[in-house]
Amino acid sequence: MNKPKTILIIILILLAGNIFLGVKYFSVVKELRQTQTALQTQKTNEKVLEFSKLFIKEVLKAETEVNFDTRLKLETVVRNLGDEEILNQWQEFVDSKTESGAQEEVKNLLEMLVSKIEVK
Amino acid sequence: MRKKIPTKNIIFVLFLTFFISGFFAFPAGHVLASSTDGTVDSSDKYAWGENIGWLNFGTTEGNIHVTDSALTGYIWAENIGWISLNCSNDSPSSCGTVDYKVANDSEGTLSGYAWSENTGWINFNPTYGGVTINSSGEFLGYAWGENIGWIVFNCSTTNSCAAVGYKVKTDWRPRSARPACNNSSDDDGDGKTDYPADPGCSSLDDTDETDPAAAPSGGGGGGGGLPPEAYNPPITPEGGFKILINDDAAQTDSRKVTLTLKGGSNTKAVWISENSQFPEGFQVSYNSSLSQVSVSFDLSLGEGQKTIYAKFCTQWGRCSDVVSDSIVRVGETTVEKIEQVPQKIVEQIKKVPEAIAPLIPNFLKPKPQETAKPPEVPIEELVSKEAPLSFQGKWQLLPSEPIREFVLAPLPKEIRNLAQKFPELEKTLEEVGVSKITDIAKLKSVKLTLPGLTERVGLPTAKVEPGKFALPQGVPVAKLSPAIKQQLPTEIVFAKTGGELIDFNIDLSVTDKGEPQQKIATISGKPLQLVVKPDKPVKSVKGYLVFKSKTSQPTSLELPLNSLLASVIFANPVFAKTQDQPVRVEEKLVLLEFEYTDPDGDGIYTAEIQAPLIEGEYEIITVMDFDDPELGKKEIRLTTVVDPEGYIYEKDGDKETRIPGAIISLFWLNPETKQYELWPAKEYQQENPQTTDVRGTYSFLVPEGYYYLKAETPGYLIYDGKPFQVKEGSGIHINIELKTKYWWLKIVDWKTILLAVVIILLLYNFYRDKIRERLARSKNL
Repeated sequence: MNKPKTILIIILILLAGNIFLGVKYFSVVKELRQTQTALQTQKTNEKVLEFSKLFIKEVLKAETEVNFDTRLKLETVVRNLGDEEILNQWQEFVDSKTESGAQEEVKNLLEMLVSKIEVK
Repeated sequence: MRKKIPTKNIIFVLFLTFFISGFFAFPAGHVLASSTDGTVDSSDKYAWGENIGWLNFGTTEGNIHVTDSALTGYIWAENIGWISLNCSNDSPSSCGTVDYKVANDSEGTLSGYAWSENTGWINFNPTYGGVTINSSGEFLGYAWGENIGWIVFNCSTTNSCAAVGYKVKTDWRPRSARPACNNSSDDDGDGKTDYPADPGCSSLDDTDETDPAAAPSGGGGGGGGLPPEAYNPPITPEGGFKILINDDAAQTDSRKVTLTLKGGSNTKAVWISENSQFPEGFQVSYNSSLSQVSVSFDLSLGEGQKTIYAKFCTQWGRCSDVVSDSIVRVGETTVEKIEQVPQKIVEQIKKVPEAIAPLIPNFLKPKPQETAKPPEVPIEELVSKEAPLSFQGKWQLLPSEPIREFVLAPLPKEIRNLAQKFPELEKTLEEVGVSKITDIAKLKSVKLTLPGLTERVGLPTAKVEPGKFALPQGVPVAKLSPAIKQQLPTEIVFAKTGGELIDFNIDLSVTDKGEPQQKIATISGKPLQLVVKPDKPVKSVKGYLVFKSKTSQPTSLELPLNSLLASVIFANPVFAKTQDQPVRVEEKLVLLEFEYTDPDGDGIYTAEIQAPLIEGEYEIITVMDFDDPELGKKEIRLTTVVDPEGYIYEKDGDKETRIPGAIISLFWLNPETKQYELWPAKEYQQENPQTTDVRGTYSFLVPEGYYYLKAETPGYLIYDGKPFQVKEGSGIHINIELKTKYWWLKIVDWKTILLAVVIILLLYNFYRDKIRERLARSKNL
């Protein structure tokens, strides 16, 4: 086989290889994005659940005053959610001035937390 | 002895007094140097609001000044507009209405409030916050806006300088950090304060206010002690005293100009003002070792020619003649025009980058800048030390009343009524712990059966007589004793069949709405006796049989042979409800209208009807018309599902072929003999065995017990079913498949046989060919 033909074949093989790997790359990238989205959703769900658990355990079931450390922890967790709606609702609850107001805000907060959990 | 004071000394003292008092003639509030009347640095002028973005302390229009007593001027916030630091800023002053300011305690600790035109008050000394100015003139700490949250003045406060560096810096210095001759206090207690008022100060940077050693007094003279050079006028430099604005430029388009000052070798300070009388001028220190000094100066507002006057003074207060320079300020008109550009045009211009953005390929676009992360306020600062009311454990955060109402609500009225009429049901509900509305869910997975009439009135359900099959059977209503009739629950429709000997047990289920539903099942064409006892005397009791839907009842066809459970039947509540309107016959297909009768006048009304031939869901509506007009009419609804009859069939592929003429026998387990015996159907107005008609159908309505079926017909294998239990009132209508005796004929059809013959013939042909070849070969050999 002469040299030009060999080179041509090698080029064709390399080209085919590139095309194959390119297609593969894009499919993998697409898959990665989907996975990242799913992972993000899962992480959010976990964070929301973590906060919900903490809120129920430390606030709703509290028999006495919630201490500073716990409130600090709650504030940290709620801010870690990175959800402005929840943060605002949380703030509304924290700033409640009356018992009935606090009860209303608790209901709203719990409703919001549950609605934030995405099930696919 | 009085000593005469020389006239020339008096003149000198007067002159000196007049000269020195010139310094005090300026307004009290006037400041002498930038470290006492600071402005904001031109580069370090930004603070960060967590919710409002950047705040600019160094705008020209804002004109912020920091003095020992307060801050004046305006902050410009990119998202909320102007923030006033002092009520005196407002024109006219609003201090008469609301006296507010950001105060300075002269040591750089700020307090008080600023006012944002759009977002309200900003506290410079909030709880967990506070703003200070350090000895370098840098603002530190947080202010709190009632509606905008925290404002951070220095990136070092939040340790975020690595991400984005910002701070607000002024050339004002806390009093303690300034030289003694520039700290607005009389440090040496001589009644004179700072340079140049205090003769102990040689300059603003002089750190000692103490007066030089007093020279021996000539007696009574105030001017004694000053060195001779104190009386010398300032030395004129080469070319004379000069002030140049922007290096003698003819015009400028900015308020901020640079002044070049040229003084003599003993010049220590320069007075500068736009007024030749220096009523509002300020003094800058002059470094005489330099040939000239440059200082920054803000021209007064407005365009046109601006003249700045200067006079050069020695450290003893002797000043030169006033010199000046002029410059024409232009561009303000232009600026105003730009400011007046209509908002619509500005918005359109702002949209241009967005409009052309899609046209630019991505690789040509600059990498998006990492948005400056807003400095995060430490979480400890956000959480108050004192627990908010909602965390104090004093409140019930979940409202107890709705929860209590939900959890402890009693059972629905319908179920309670039903339980009252059927004590057995009440007992069952108690035993299984169904007492609240939340327990209703338990009933959804439970199959309850209301007792039939016979059982309800306490009659034995089975009787044994010698020499006769002892079948459990009901009693016709007419034969009941008056006492038992008295016990009969009112306003419940009981269904019976087989000459009133078989009770239909009523299955009870609960709907999703928590309403009880009752069901009875019968088989098409079978007689049905209905019994009802009105609560009060009635004029008449009418019944209607209406068609509801042709619901398919797959279970009636697919019941396993070893079990005979009732088909799924839906029924409406049987409780009597006050009838507001007559039966709405226009909405329903009324198949039969019948009258209940009470021939013996015992208050129990009965009626006999025939179950419809077509299977489906029907409703029996019983309407009681009371004598008492106040009671009006009441109706009781009972939905009855009519199941089709059972049939005998033979399976042919996916198809079923009904088998007519098959004999089907029903055997019953006699509890006395423990043997299966032919069921005595005649006692129940039925036949046993039955012969299937052309449709291959059969059916039995039987009392409860254990049964099995047997079916036989010529050409088929005998079917001997497994025993199963029947509850009272349930029909037997199982579909039975019979197998043919010649089943193998169905596997081998003529096509298969033909194919097999052809294959065999072909093989035989091959075999013969081989034989022929062999013979031919042996002959050749």
